[in-house]
Amino acid sequence: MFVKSLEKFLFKQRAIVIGVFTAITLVLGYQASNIHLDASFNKNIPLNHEYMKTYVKHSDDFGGANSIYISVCDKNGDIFNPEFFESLKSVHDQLFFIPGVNRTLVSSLYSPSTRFIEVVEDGFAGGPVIPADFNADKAGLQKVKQNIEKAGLIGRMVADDYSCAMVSSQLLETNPETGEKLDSIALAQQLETEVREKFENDKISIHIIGFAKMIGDVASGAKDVVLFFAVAIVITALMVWIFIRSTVLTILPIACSIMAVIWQLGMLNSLGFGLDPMSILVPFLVFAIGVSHGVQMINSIGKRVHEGFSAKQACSASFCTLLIPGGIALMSDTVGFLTLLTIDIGIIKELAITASLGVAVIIFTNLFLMPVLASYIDFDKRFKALPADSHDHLWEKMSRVTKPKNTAIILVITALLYGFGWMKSQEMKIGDMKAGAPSLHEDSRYNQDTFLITDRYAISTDILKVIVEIHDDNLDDDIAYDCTSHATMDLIDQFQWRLSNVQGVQSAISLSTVAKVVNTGYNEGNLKWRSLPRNSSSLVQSTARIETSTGLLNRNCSVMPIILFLEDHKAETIERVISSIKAAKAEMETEQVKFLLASGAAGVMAATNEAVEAAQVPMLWYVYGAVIILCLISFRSVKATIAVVLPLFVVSTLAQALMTYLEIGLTVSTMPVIALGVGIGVDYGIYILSTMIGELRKGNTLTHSYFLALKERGSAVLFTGLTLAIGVSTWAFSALKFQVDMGVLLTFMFLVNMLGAVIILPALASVLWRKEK
Amino acid sequence: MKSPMLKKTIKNVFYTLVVCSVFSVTAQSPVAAIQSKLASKNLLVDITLAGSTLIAVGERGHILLSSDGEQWQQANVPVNVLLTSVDFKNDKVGFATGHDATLLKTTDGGFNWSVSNYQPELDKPLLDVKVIGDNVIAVGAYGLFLQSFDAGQTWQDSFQDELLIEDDRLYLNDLKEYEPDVYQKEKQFMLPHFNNINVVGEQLFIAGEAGFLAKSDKDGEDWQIIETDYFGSYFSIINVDDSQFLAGLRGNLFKSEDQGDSWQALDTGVKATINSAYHYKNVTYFFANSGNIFYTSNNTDINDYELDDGKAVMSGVVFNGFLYLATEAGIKKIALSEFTSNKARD
Repeated sequence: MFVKSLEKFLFKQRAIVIGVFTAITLVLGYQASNIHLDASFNKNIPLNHEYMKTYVKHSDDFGGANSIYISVCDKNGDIFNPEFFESLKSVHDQLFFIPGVNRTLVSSLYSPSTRFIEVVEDGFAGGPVIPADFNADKAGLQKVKQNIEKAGLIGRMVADDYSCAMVSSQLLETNPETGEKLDSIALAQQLETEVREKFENDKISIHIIGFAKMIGDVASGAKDVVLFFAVAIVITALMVWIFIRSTVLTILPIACSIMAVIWQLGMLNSLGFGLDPMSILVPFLVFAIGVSHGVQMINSIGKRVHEGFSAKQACSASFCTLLIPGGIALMSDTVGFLTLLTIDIGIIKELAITASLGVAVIIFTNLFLMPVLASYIDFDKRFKALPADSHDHLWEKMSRVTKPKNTAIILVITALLYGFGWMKSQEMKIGDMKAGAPSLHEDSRYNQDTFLITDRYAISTDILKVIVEIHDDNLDDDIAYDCTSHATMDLIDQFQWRLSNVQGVQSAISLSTVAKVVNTGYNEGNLKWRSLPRNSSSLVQSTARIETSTGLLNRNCSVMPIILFLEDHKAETIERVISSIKAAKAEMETEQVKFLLASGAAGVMAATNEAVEAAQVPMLWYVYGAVIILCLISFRSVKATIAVVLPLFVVSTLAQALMTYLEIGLTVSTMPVIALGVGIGVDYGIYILSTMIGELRKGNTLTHSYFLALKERGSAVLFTGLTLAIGVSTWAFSALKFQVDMGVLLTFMFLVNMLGAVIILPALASVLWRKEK
Repeated sequence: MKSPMLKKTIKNVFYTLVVCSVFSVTAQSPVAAIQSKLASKNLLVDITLAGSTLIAVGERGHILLSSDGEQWQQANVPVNVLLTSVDFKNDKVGFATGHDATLLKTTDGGFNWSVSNYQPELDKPLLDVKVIGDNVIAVGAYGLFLQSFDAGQTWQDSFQDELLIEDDRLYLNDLKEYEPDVYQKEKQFMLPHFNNINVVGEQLFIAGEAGFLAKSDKDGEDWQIIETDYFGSYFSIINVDDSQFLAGLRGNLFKSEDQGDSWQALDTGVKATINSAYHYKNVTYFFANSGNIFYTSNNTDINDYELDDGKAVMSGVVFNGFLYLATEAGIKKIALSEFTSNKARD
């Protein structure tokens, strides 16, 4: 009916069909060529999460500047030598001249603003830490060392053990030379060539961290994907050729799948999306899924040609038999991916759109166009003469899984695996489990630099800010008020101290901390006065000169963050700190003084972790819901639905157990993998079972039905599993850690789902259709 | 912290001379210190021995005890203010001072403390406490002076108007006669900070802000200012044998051989403020900022030991062959063998 008329429509005007597809490909190809790399920070965070509302609300004042830190280290562990100070000065000067660096904020021992203040008999005295007449001799270096101590720079500008010194600055929004938005990727490259390569030598090492540098490293890592793509295409092509032993039939699925990728990229660009390091993997998936469906098609066509049909007959017949299972499978992929839209994180939504678009496109390129194209093929005699299928003995062996004894064994093992997997999956951790920038490998240069800097200085890149909001009706917008209230400042101080004691908090700072230090200064530097004065006018004196640029207060002191420096951003660390904050908040919050979560990099991670954890279960419900409904519609059988879905469910549980084993946390990048895996994994079951059910309904026994299904589709299913797995397993060589994680998990999902479809599914079926034996 | 700022309730408390009063805790009650594993790594201001137990006090009401110098236990302290000084009568009874004019007392060797005085409304810290038998004296900012003759049962506070400079005294006397209200207000911040008190037999010495040095020959009943040539603040005065040392801002150190009447400067070589002094077996130690410990064994030549981290050293005490330090970064210890006269660092 529908299939028949569609077949007539397509095959009657083959030239027009091909023309239309060519035209679309040209237009979308042009669009695709304009696609840009796009790595926006906001896409990665759950903007509607409670914490992120606080974050966004205060991001203008306390957004966390885009800083760059360069630690210059002496390899012998002591900076007080002339060569070191020479290098430090060079790095300082060099950073000053890199476009995009905020020159006024370049800060190191050499910046004129780096001064020490000391108490003298009649007040304060001070000067630059490195005096104008600095001479790098013993006396000069000794003087600088004393000044460093007086200025309290240890841990911030100089390493705790005097082995390194820091040059830091903030980055501008725009490049002042071009007037365009600052290109983090180019800047990261410049830091590499103009700072690291230039000044690193056998005595000096250079360590660079900062958001822009990380983005640069991630982007250059993401570029390797092109290479993986090429490798995947070559390997896949080779495998298809071995499978079908026909050059034309090899080119066909590969070419159609590449066409699907082009369409997908073109549509993305037309919709205004870009590619970012995470969704750059989707073209792989689209290609691999395209090839796997293409192989079903050429397999079917080839079989019919071997049986003696003409090319056109073989193609239209294959179109008719494969449109329904192929279409259902691809639709369930699409719907499976679309369920990711329910997760309120920009990047996952984007992934949902990218992947579902790509998969939907395959219906057209590989189910419609491919058989039409194949119908033009003039198969040579040698190909026609090949035997129809030479694997009958294998299929016969495999169909024995439906024998009662084997069925029992398989189902018991499956149940045991499931039980074991379920236990392990309960231990799966949310969030990043390793220290350092999560996108990059632990042993990457960037992360090694991060470890060195957090180890040797009293600073950390894992910052969690508790935003303290003052709610006071009497508060005048224009007048600094609450930094003069002892009660408020003391409450902030107590809150901060409580959190400082939480395991995983390295140090903490707030306006109160600084006010105490200033008060000490006004009392001759005597530490017996490192306390908050009760008297408002003394308190004003202690806070008045603290600039808003410190990030410790806003203009009228109605918002004062408490900044916590965490030891790392492992999920358990963040979770522990967040729950301590909540406990302290419950006890200490008043009508006037509110402690709000959260800002800072670790605050964002906390929100993301919570959003991911909250989304995980609903996401699985939606994916399985979609798959179940599609199966019910297409098979009109509850038994068939159970036989398809149950193995999938076991495999996703095992995938979670694998995550526990490999210490892969559930993150923004690994969470969609389960949905993708289920969406694609269902294809195998649908292909196998659609033939099997047909044969069962014809009155065949279950074992024989399964044998016939394997004969018809078995080789294509096995092949598909391998193709998909190989395509994504190339990611394991990526420089980006999350791509490795995704690659490993997807490979597992594809392979094991395939095994599930050919082993567990028939075993289940033989229980469900006991009568038909 | 929601209770409203208490109105100044200290009318009629201060009179020109000594007024007896037993302080009670005011309506604004203190917040107890919380247990903290970081206490021994944060600012500690004073350290002493009670019998054979080390006791250190510091910020946020931290009082730490240790019987071996390794394991530190935090005492129960009813305040969370910065504590500034601690001294013991014997191994059980001791006193500690702190901000908000806090005076704490323990009778169980430092494990539990109770509030003897707490007056946040004064906004003045007590800075030093000394115990000599039943005589306990605590001094603090703006001439705060509390004394007990019965081991802390009752306390007296006094205002030493003889320690005012002449002009101020005349001005205050005028005010007292014609504008008593203004007098009470003005008087509060007229005297300099009393940073350190030292007791030598019946003699008392107070070292303080801006070159202030005073002496009483009769247990604090009469005071006289001793003029010195230095106008920076003194933070410590100590007697060693027949000599006295006076130490203060920026490494200024003076010695007197005549009960404090005349002073001669000693060269420390480093401009680091000296916070306190301590004498043990022929060696006198001066604990200073930027990680410096000056020490002398002949009362004349000053050596300098420098801690690597450059953190301020506030106080020290010898225990089990080590000098235990209360520093900006918590407890530290140095073997006594490090302090030999020829081991001065360059």
